[in-house]
Amino acid sequence: MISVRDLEKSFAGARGEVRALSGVSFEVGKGELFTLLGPSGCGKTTTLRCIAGLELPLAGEIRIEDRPVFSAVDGTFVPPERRNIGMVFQSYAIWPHMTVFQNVAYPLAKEASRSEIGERVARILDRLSLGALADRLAPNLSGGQQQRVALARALVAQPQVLLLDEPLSNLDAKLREQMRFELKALQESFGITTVYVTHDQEEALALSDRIGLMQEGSLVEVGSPADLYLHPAHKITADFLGTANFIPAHVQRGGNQPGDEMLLESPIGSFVARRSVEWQPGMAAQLFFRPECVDLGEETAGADGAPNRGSAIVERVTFLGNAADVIMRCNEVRLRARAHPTRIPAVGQRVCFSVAPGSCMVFRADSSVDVRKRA
Amino acid sequence: MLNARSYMKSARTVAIAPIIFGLLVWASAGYAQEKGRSGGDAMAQLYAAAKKEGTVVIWGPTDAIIYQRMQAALDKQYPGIKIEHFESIPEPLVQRIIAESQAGKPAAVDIIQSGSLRALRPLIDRDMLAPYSGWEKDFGLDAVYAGQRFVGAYNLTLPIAYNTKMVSAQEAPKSWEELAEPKWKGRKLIIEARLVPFAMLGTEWGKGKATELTKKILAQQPIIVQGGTTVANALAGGQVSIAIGTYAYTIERLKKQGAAVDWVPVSPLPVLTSAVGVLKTARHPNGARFFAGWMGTAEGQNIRYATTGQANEVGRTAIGAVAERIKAAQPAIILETDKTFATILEIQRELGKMLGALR
Amino acid sequence: MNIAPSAAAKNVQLRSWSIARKLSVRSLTLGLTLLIVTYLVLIPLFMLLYASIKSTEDKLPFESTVITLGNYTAVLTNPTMASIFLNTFLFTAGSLAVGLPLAILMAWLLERTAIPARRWIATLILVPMTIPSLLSAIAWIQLLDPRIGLINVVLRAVLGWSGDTGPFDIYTLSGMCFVQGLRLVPSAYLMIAASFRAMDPSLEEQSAMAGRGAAQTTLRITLPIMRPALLAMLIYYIIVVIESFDIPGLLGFTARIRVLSTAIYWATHSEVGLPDYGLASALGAMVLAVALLLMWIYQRLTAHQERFATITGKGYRPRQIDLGAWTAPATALCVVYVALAVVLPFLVLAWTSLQPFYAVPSADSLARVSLEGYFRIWQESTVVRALWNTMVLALVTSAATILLAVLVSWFVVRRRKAADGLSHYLATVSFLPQCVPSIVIGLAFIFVYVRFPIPIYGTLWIIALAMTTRYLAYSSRTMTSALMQVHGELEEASQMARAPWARTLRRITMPLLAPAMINVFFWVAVHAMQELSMALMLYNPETVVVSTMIWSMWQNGRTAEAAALGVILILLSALLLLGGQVFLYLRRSSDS
Repeated sequence: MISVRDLEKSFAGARGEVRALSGVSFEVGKGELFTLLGPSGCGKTTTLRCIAGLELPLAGEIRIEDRPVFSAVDGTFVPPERRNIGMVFQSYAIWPHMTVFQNVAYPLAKEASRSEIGERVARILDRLSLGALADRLAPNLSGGQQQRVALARALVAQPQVLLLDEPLSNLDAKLREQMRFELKALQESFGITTVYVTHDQEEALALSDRIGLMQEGSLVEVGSPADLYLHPAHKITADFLGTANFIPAHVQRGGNQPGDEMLLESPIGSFVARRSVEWQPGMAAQLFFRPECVDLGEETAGADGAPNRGSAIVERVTFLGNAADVIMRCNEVRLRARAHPTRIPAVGQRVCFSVAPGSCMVFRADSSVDVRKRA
Repeated sequence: MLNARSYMKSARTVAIAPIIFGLLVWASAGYAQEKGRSGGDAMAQLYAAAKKEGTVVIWGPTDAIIYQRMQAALDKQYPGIKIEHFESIPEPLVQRIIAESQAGKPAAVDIIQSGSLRALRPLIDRDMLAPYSGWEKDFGLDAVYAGQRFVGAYNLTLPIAYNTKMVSAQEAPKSWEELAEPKWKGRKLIIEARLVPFAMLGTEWGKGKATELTKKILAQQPIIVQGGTTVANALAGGQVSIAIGTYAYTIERLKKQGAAVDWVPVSPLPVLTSAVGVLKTARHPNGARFFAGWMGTAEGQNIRYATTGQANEVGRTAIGAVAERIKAAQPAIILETDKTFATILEIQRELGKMLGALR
Repeated sequence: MNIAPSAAAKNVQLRSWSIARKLSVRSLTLGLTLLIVTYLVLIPLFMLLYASIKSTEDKLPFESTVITLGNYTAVLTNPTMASIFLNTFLFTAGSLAVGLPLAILMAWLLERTAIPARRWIATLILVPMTIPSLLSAIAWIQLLDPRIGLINVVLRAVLGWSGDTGPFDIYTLSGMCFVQGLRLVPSAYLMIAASFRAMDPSLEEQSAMAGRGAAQTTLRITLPIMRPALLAMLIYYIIVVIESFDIPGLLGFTARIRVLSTAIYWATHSEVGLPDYGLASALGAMVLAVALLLMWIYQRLTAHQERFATITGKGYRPRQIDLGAWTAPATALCVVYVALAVVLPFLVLAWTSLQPFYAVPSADSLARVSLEGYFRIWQESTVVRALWNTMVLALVTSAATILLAVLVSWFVVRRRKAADGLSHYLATVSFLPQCVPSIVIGLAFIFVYVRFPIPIYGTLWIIALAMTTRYLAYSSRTMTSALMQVHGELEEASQMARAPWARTLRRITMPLLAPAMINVFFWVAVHAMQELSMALMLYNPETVVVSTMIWSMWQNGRTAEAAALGVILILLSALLLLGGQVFLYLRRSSDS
C-alpha cells in the first residue's frame, strides 16, 4: 500500500547540512496502522512529511498503491494535493477564519455538488459526534473538539492514506487515553491505511499494528508491538521501549542456526537464550530480559547451578498500584523485576528469580552502534 | 462625449470660419492701429496664423483661473484660440522637456513659463527656445531677454516684510543691513531657505559683502523654512516680526484680506522676472508667440493682476499696487535678467552651503 | 521484446514530469514575482548608480558623457560631512527612540490590553497619516514655537515665566526628533499591530502562570517572540528617517541641524536650473549601502529562528490583560496622543481652510471665517478629474502593491529554508527602493518609459507603477511580519486537503492575513494620495492628481483652497479607513 524505499533527506542547518533521514525503508500494508516511534529529532515527522509530499526528499522512492509519488531516479514528484492523503497535524491546523463545517467541507469543495458536500460533511461530523458544532468557529472549540475536527477534515474526502502527526500530544492525559481508543476504533472502522507518528511508546504499543522505531534519521527496527517489546532485535529498541535488564555475559555455546538455544555465562549465573545472530564461544555479549519476565519466588534450595535462575537481595520496592517495581542485587549486578501487587517482597529479603529462555535475548556487547547503517 | 463635442465645435468653426475670418482680420488690425502700435499688420498676421493652429499649450506654475479668465477675454477679442494649460512647477517640466526631446519625442507643449528666469536656463543652454523679434517690435513689450527667447510675464519683488502688530512702520528695517542689528535676534525673523534676495544683493554688492551680511543675519537665530507661502503665513500668523523671501504682491494681497502685514520697498530691491518662452519644437508656434505677446499687453496684465495680484512691477508696463509703491520710493532695483542670472545662481549656491548644500 | 517495457517506463516518467510541471503554478508565480520585483527595483537602482558616477552639474545624467567619481569625492571630502553624518545619526536615533517605543506601546495597549474605547483609538491612531506632512508640522509649530506656541504660552503663564520665549523650543534637535518620532507612530503601529494581534496568548499565559507580571511577560516573552518583526521594523524606519525631509526641511534649517536628506534636498531642488542628480545619487548610494548592511545584519540575526509562528490553528482567544491601576494612565496616554497627533493637526487644517490667510484664532480672524475656499476649488476645471485620478491611483497602487507584497512575503517567509537564497534576495531587493530618493525614481521612470514600446508614459499607470515600486518596501515588510505569525501547518493542512498552492493562498493565507492586508491597503492608498515628488515628475494635464493641486495652490498662496482640498482628501481617506474597519468589524462579529 505504502512503500518507502531508501529515503534520504537533509536540511540546511546553522553549521552546514544536517542529515535528517538516511536510507529509511519500510512498507505499510492495506488497512494497517503503522507507527513511527522515536525520540524528538529522530526523523519520524520528516518521514511522514515526505510521504505527505510536504518535504522533497533527496533520494529514494515513495509509492502509494503502487503509484510512485516520489522517485529520485526519474524525478517524479506528485504534489501533496494530488496524493489522496488525509493528514492530522500536531497543531491540528484548524483554520480559525472558518466554521467547523467549512473546515471539514474544504477538501470536498471542487468535486461534488453542494447538497452532496452537505451530506458527506454531516455524515462525518455525526460519526465524530461533532454534529452540534458545525457552525462554530475554530477558536471557540476545546482541544479535543479541535482534534476531532482535524480528523473529520482528514477523512471526509475518503483518502487512501491517513497520516497522523502526534495527534494526541496537545491533549491532557485523561482525554489522551480516551482519544487513543477512539482513534483506533475509527481507523479500524474506516479500514484506512494509517501512518502514525509519536514519541510516546505507550501510545505506539497500544495503537499500532506494527511499529517502526527510528533513531537519528534511521529506521532501526520494524515489528509488531509485542515483537518489538519482547523480542527486540536491537539493543536500541530494547532500551527505548519500556525498562530492561542488561547483563554483561560471555558466550559458552553459540548454537548453529537462528532460533537455536545458546548458553551464556554471566555474573548472575548461566543463561539459556534464543540465538539471533551468529555467535562464537567466548564472545562478549549482553543478556537482555524485561522486568516483567522475571519470576520471583521464595528462596529455595537447589536453585543454584540450574540455568536461568539465581537468587538476589531486594534493595528497593516501588509500589505502582497494578504492580510493584523491585530492584535487587545479585553479585554486584542490579536487576529489575515486576512483582504482583499481592506478593511484594520485603526490602533486604533474599529472593529467587528465574527467566524463561524464550524471554532472554542476547546482543553484541558493542551493539549500541552497529545498527546504524550510515550511508 | 468629449470627442463628439469637439467634433461639433470644429464642424461649426469650419462652417463659419471663412465669413468671420475676413471680418476679424480687418477688425483686429483696426484695433491694433487704434492703439497706435506700429506692428498692427504683423500682429494681425500672427493672429491669423495662430487661429489656424487653433490651440496653444502652456506649461507653468500660474493659477489655472488666470488662464480661464484670459481665455474668456481672448474669446471676445481674438476668438478661435484655445488655451490648454498645465499647472505645474517648471523644474520637473524642464527636465521632462529635455528628456523627452532627447528620446526623440518632443513634448506636446508650446510655451513654458516660470516664476523665475533662472529655472528656464537649461533650455537656453540647450538652445531649445525659439527667438521672436515680434514681442518687441509688434507688441511693444520691453521685458524681452536672452536674444528674444523670453518675454517677461510678471515680476516678483522680494522686499522686507513685517507684521504691523509687532513692528511699527518706524521700527521696520529700512535697509538690509539693519537686519543684522541685535534687536532682531532670537526667532524674530523668518527667512525662506533658498536665500534668493541675498543672492541677488550679491550681484549689486559683490559676493563678499552679500555673503558677509547673510552670515550675520543667519547668526540672529532666524526661523528658516522652505516655501514663500509658509514664510508669509508665519508672518501673517504672528509667529515672527520680519519675513524675508516672500513676495511683495503676496503681502499686498494679505493686507487687502485684513492681515496685519506690510512691506518696505528697501533699496536695493531684488525683483525676479517670470518669463515665458516658446519651444523650438512647438506644434503651435504662431499661437504660442501670439499668446505670449498678448499676455504682456495691458489686457493680459490686467487680467492677471485682477486675479492674483501678479503683474509687471518695474519698467514701462508696470501696473498695480506694488509698482506704485516702488515708483514712489524709487529704490535701486536689482532685476533678474539673462545678464545676471548666472551670477545669482553662483552666489545662491555659495550661500546654500551655509544651510547644508554640499556644492 | 526488450523495447516494450523501457518504452512503458519512459511513459511513466514523462507523465510524472508533466505532473511535476503542473504543480509549478507556484514556481511560475515565484518566477514572475522575482521578475517583476527585480524589474521594478532595477530601474531606479540603475539610475541611482548610473547617475552617481556621472558629472551632472547643469546636465541630466544621461546627457553627461563624463564618467567620474567626483560626486563621491565631493561628498566624502566635504568638510561638513562629518557633522552631517553625526547629525543624521543623532536625528535618526532620537526619532526612533521617540517613535518606535511609543508605537510598540500603543500596539500592545490597543491589541493586548482591556483599555476602554480600544477600537476607536485604534482607528483614530491611523488618521495622522492622512494629514499632509507640511500641515501637521505647522500644527506642531503652533504648539511648540518658542514665542507663540500654545504650550509655551500656557506654560509661561502658569509658571510665571517673565521672558517671551520658551520653555520649549521646537527648533532644536530634540524638537525635531520629537515631531519626527510622533509622525512615525501610525505607520509603525500598523506594521507591528498585526504581530501582537496574531500572537498566541497561551505563550503569555504560560509566563503569567509562572508568576510573572504583565510587564515582565511583555518584556521577557512577548517582545522577544516578536524579535524578527521588531528588527524588520527598526531597519525599515532607520532608512525612512535617514531619507525623510519633512521635518529637517521645516525645522532643521532653523535648528541648524543638517542631515543627509538636507544635502539631498539641496542637490535635487535647485530652483535655479537642473537638479544635481550626480550628487543626490551619490548620497542615495550611501543610504543604499547602509540599508544593505542593515539587511545583512538582520538576516544574520534571524537566520535560524524558526519558532516564531504563532497563529497555530489551535484555538486562540486573544487574552486581554487587565491593567488594573494602570488603566487610567494608559488610556490617558492614548487620548493625549490622539489629541496631539490627530485632533490638533486636523483642527489647524480645517481652520486654515476657513481663513483667507493663516492666522491664530482671535476675534479678528473669527470674523474672517468663510467657506470660500471650499467653493473656489470647484472653479478649477481640473479638480473633479484630479479627485477621480487620485482615487483611481490610490486604489490601483494599493491593490498592485498588496498583491505583490503578499507574494513577496510568502516566498520570503515560506522559502526561508530553501538553499537557493531567493528568499534573502526578495527580502533585500524589495527593500531597496526605499533608499532611492523619490525624484531619482521619477527621473528613472521618465528616462525608461518615454522610450518604452508599451505606451504607458504620460498615463496614470506610470505613476501607479512608480508608487508601487516605492511602497513595496513598507508593504512587503509589513506583510512579512504578519505572515511570520501564521503557522505553516495551516497552509500545509490546506494542501493535504487537496487545495493546490494558488487556492491555498486565496482561501487560507490571504483570509488569515486580511487584517494586515487591509491596513497595508489603507497605508498605501493614503500615501499614494499624498505623494508629490514622483507625481510632479510624471503627471500631465490628463493625469493631474490632488496632491499636486494642493501643492500648486499652496505655492501660489491659496492656502484656504489648499487646506480645503486637504480636508476633502482626509475625508476620502477616512472613507477608506472606515470601509476597512467596517469590513474587519463584520468579520469579527461573524466570528463570535
